[in-house]
Amino acid sequence: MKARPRARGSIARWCAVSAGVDKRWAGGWVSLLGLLLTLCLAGAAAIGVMSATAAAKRGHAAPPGVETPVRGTVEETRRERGGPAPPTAEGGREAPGKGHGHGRGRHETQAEAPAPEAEQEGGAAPAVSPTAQTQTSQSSSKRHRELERERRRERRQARKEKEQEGRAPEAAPKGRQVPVVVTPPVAAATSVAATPPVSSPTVPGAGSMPSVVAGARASAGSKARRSHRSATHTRHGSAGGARARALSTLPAASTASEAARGAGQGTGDPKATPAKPHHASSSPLVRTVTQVIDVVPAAIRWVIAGLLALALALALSTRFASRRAQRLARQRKELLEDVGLLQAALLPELPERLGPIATTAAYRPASGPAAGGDFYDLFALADGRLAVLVGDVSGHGRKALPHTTLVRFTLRAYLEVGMSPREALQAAAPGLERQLGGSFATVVLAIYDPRERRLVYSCAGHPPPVLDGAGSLPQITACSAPPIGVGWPTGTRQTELSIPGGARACFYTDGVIEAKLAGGLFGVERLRETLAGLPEDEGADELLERVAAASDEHPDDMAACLLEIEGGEAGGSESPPAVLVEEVEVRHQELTDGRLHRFLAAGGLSEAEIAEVVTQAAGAVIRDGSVVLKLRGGDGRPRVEILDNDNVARMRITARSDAGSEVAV
Amino acid sequence: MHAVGDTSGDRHAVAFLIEQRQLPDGNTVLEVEGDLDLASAPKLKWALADLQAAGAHNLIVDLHGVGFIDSTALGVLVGAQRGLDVGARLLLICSEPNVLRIFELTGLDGMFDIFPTLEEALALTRSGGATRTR
Repeated sequence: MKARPRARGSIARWCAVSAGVDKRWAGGWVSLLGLLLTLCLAGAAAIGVMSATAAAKRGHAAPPGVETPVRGTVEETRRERGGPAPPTAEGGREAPGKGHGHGRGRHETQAEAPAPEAEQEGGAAPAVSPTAQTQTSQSSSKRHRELERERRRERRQARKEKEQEGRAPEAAPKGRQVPVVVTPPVAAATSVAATPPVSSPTVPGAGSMPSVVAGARASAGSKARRSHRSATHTRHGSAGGARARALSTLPAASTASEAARGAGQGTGDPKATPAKPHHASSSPLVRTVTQVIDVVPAAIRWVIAGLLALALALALSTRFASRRAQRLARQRKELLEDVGLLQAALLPELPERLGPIATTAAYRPASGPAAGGDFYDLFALADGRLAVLVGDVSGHGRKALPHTTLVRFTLRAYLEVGMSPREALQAAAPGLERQLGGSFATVVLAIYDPRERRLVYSCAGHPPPVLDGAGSLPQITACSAPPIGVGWPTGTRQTELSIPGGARACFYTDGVIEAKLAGGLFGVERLRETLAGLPEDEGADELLERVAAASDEHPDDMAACLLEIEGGEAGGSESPPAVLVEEVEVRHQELTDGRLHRFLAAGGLSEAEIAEVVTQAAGAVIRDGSVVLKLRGGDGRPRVEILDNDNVARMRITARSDAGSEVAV
Repeated sequence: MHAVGDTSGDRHAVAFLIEQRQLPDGNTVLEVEGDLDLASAPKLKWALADLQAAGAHNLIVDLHGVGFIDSTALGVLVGAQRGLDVGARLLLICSEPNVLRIFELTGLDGMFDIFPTLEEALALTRSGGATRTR
């Protein structure tokens, strides 16, 4: 069921891509319609050109005479109109009988150059006479007949007009005939130039020769009458008059070609009316388009017009839709940027250096809609120690922002009063949980003591820091404390490390290690490698930049705090970072569900020692509800201390290499 | 047996699927397959809510087909745990080390009842005890 819309979408997308428009379905349909339209137009144009060239070939290939019916009729028409007829005057006189009507009823120049026009367009011959029409028209003979009838009516009317005018202006018919005589040779010449496919030698063939001769004769004789002619012609249509005027002033070739073109329009177009001579003066492009449109049948013309209108409407709607989509996308981006901006505004400006520690922090909003929720803080405590705070509140966007500030400043306050990270977490968690209203927060709190070069940190559902300078430390993950706000006691774990000079500690949020790669997640190991490969003068910004560059996407926010501890060069012989103390607060559950067991096992205690510790701890838990265990390592011999409520070690169990253990009470 | 979630294989390498399976003893198991992340967590949330609305006493979620859980999905499980009716319980079945490690790192392994197999989880529901075997 899913395949269908997908396939349709892909077609639309393909169309859209091929047409280079917006990647939307409507765009695809518009381009499809555009293609159809182009095909229609191209087909119509091809039909027009083919019919024109075919007719022209027919007209030229056949010997000028009566072999081809079309040709025959053309010849007849020419003779009728007095084109090739001997003297101008006689031609003019003869014409009124048959050809006169033709000449008058149409266009003035129509009668002037029927022969070359017939040569040039060939297919246009039907317009010349009813006989020719029946021979050439194949599909729309009915329409042509109607047109012919209309034309005849016009002719009759024109004749009547003329009769009304009286026979007084004797010069008028003569004058009208002058262009008839002048144009043929030039028109023949234009036909050569205008129709390249037609081989030139055939054009001024035997059929057209008489016109040339007649034209030559007439041009000689007509010069004297020109002024008078032009004066009389102005009455018969402005265009005709203008052309006549042009004849008197412009060089013969150009004016005659103009006239021939006018004649071409008149004879070539079956629908031509006296109102259309402006085609003659327009550009070749417009003329070609007009000619193509003239060839297209009326019904198809309407279809094309409809398609054009539809395409236009669709294109417009697509345009509006895409603009709206663009606007919405822009607004969304701005909104996300705003969230990022607000988030960034809530993040503190950090001092570049706190004592002997270079500090940098960076924040990158998620690449998706999950921006917001990460926070960090870094500040100096009164006694010169340095406090670090990195966390992530569940939920994203605007709703998460107040929670991030709440958690951050609450925890900061507890650290400021001098509590250890674990104590601060434990003290702050219940109050925070009430205020988080169902949300929860993962957080890591740390205090670095530069004098002792010791880092103490406590996590609540948060990944521990990554260290550079000593490979991976064997940090114990068992008995980790849960996040703040999940309805479970937290602040139950704390780790104390020694960090020598020159080492780097990186605190981060889970968005960093959960950045996505082709093969899965970025992970802690890659982060450790990235940190190790980071140049000394680069900070958290560059670290996150590298993480982002190495991963495909980061669907969650990324935040990182980097501490660079100075003094590496002086203490080259310093011991590498080492875990000194792992602290865990144990309740009944940790004793029974095996988590304490795993914690102690990870600390290097034997089964017997673990059993001893568990037994001792269980007694304290029954009595006090909970007990704090400190697993001390670092010097090769793990030692467990069980503390009482006053933080005083009630019992010490030291593991020994010979599997025995020292118990001191 | 019917699918609750849908396959969102377009963006994820592994299609995400939640299947609801009725057991002979009346319990219903949600079998989750694929990564539980920002995109798929809501589906688990609604599936759990449906199960709870249907009056299920034991919400059993089988995470055997899950390779990764992110903080959003953990939040869903936390929400389900906290929203349990009196006497109801959420039982997670998981033996995938990566997912178990995520539970451990976030300290949530103490909060949830996690069992390596469905049989162990069902044994607990039959005995009615609260002791967990890990």
